[in-house]
Amino acid sequence: MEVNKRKVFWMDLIFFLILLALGAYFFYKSAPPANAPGSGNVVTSTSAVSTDLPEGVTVEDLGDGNKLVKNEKDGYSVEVKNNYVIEKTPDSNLSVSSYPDNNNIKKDLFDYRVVMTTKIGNLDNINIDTKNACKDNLDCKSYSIDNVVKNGISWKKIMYTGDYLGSDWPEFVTEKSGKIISLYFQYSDNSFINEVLNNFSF
Amino acid sequence: MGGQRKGLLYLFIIIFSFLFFGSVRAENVLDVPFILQFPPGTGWGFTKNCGPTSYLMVDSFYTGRNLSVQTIKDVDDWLYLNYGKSINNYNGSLTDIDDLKNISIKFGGFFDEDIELSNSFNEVKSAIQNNLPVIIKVYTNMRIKGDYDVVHFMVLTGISGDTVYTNDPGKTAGKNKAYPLQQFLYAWSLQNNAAIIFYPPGHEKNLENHASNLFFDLFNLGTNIFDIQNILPNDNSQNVKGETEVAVQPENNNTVYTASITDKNQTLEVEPEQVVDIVVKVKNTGNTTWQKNLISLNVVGGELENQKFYNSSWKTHLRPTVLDADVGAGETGTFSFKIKSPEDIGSYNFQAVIVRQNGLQFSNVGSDVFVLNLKVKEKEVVVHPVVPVEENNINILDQVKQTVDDVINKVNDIVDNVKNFLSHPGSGSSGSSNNITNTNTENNNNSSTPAIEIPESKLFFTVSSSPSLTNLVTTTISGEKSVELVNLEINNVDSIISTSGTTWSTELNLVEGENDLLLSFSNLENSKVVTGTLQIVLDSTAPNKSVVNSVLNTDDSPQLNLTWQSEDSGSGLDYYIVEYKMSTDTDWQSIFEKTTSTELNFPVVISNTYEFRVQAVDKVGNESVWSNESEDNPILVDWSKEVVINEISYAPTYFGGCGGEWVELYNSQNSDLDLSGWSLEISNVISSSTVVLSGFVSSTSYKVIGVSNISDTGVKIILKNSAGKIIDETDQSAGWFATPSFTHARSMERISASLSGNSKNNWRENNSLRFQLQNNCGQNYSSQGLDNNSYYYL
Repeated sequence: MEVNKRKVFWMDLIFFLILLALGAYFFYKSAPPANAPGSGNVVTSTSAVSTDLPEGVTVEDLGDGNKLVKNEKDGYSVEVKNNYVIEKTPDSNLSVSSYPDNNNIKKDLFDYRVVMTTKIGNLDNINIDTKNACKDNLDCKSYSIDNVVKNGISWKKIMYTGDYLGSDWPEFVTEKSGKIISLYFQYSDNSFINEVLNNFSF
Repeated sequence: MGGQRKGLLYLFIIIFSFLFFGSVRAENVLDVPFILQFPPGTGWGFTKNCGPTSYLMVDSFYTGRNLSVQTIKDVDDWLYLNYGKSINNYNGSLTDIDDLKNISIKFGGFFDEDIELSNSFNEVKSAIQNNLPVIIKVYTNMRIKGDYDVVHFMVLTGISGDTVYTNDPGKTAGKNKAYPLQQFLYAWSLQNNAAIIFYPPGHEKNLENHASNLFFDLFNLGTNIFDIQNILPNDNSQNVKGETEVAVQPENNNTVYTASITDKNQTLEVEPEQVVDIVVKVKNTGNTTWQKNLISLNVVGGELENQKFYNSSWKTHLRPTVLDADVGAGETGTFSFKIKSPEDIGSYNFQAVIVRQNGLQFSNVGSDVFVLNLKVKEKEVVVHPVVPVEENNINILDQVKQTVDDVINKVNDIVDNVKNFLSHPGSGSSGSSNNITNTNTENNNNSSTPAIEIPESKLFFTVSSSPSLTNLVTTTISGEKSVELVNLEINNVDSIISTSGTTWSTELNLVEGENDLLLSFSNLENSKVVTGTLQIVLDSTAPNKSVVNSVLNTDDSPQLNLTWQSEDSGSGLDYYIVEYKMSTDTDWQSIFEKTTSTELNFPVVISNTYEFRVQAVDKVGNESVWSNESEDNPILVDWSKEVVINEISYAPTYFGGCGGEWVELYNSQNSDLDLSGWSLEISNVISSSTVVLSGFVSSTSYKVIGVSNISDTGVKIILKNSAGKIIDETDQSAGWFATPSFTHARSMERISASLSGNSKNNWRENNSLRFQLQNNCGQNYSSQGLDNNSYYYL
């Protein structure tokens, strides 16, 4: 009888400890995240509406309805129509955007745009990089890489296809002086794409 | 001690249960109905409907309304008509928080107090925990790809630990899509933490009504009080309320659609909630014919503003009607529709504009605005002369009063005549004035030779139901008549009539063409006759089978230029029905349900096979047989193929490994062709190259083009002429059609130059073996420069 009582005691204790552990776990899980702020504004926005330009970028009005956008830091320029808006993106890249109403620009609510980025590197591994990028994106079903020559510049046109917003948006990449220059077109039709590529130069 | 332990254990179990179930509630993810933002639209690369789609998901959460592509289109239409936001082929326009608020209140059924704009994470989290859905303004993929992502609306459905759950309309697997909390907070912050919390529609009003009930279930309110007009079409009402896509009408740059509205300002006095018929006359001042189902009258001011005028006969809540009939350039047409007057006394302006639908695009026709000023007055308002009240709308008291007045007048007439008779005895009766036409004959009360007449009741008959044009050989006509008239002769032949005193009907057997009918009603004694004439045209002959012709045009985007024509010797052609199907389809698809057009440029895809059929309908509804009856006419769409890609060697075909890689062209024409400026484009997923051609290729001869390094796994080859037009192609980029296992060099040859280069069955491995000793390279396993349909041995 003494043994049985002892067994019952230990079983009670083990059951109690298991419950305690489970309770502590769920209590921990139900707590708000430690870094969630207590007040209304969680993170101060860093993208206040602004038309300032990325470092090294200048815009020159050519007086013929066009303007010349020069990125002296990365060594390229592109001539675009005056009604396009030249902006610095939240990641400090250069973008050329078309808005429905230039007198009432609502940041991010553009009709279409191209984002221009530059990074150190080359295109030696573009095939495998593109393949892996598609593989890592659960929404990506296929990809393509085409060679395109525009205004004397050889571009690789990369497109990912799948059932998701942003599918089929083309990215044109080329390399120059150890840098990869990328033009990523969002919501853009062929006329805008050709317009930018035909007027892009180093 | 044992009792204390058990007590502690029970206490802990109770505390644990609270914690456990509390945590379960915190991890609850709302079951918000889900729909993708595409379709509608032209593709995933262009869709901007995330805002409207997110709203519709919330709307459906509260109302249970079905989500469909049409509901998204309805919001796009509404945004265009009310805020000028481009429909953009139903890709929509990017929307902002203010737009969603407007949609919720003015398009949907939410009240101002149901919408809470919030920038607070705690408020948003609290809302989710209280089962309130929240629309958040963030980025695609929660901006995990930085600038490669764009601003995007989603419905927040749950927050649990370090994960948020959203209904992301931009992904096929978007239902309760999980994102890291930190990623959400970052993406959200870049949009100033913009969010909309949705309470059940009308929740404050209902809370006031149920304030005394402490246990009132807040979340049952939605379906009970969401009593706005059902703006979203269901399966049964889609044809009435929803817009449907029409086929895109071909037009050139010179086509002008413009209009002027005749009498564009009208005033009407009506009773409350009276249904009145409106006719708007418009002149086609453009240079092209308007098709009646493509030109419509649309209200101005949006659905809610015009709800007070809405009548169930409207095409949609924004579109009262379409044209009554086709209107040629310079002609005047009409829009006929009903509107309901508002229930409150007052003055109201109903406004509408003319709109043209083309495919999925809507555009204004002219700038005139039709304005109808409705003055809603009390009951005694006289029915406006311009607008007929709906039939049978005279109340019974008015009918009784009118009947009594008629009887009194008749009695007075009789009394007057009896007085005349007594004061002028001896005069004969003119009661035998037979042959009364359908308008009553006048009594000949000539004052100079006063005739004394016994007044006879006015004999008449009417034909109230008779077609002037019909396709039915046996046709029934009917009407009203005087009670005394019991016999009917039609063209002097007795006819059997069915009568119930004052009404009559009879059946006619018509002959093809015009039927001139003389109707003679008479009384029992045949002493009194009333006659009238009637013409009915019988057209029971269907239009001829339509002749359909097609011309393939590959100059620009491939398209078939279709034309069709039929004839009708009877009432004349009214419209055509045009349908198509792909060879792989079983069901026919509609191109035109009704069109008077006889041509169409139909976009096609190379290598696909299409079938078209046309049916003509005449003005009385006779339908011709389909144009493809007993003669299927599938059209295989292919390039023009004056020169074809005839043979391919992607590895040297000489046993000795020499000879290089090449593509052979074949000129199937009867004349030589100059290939200067022509090109071969050879590409696959990872590379592409262009070979510019030169020189001539003789008639029915071959030309071999050397190409370096053709991929062993397959390529796509496109042959273009000097103008850049594609002449032929073979797409084998997914793998060569023949010799798939590359073991040794044999060429691949096309079997027929007239069949598609994209057809796998049109290619085979070359089976030749030739010695060409001059290059000292051994056997050649190809028919390079020779006919493919022969085998060459030695």
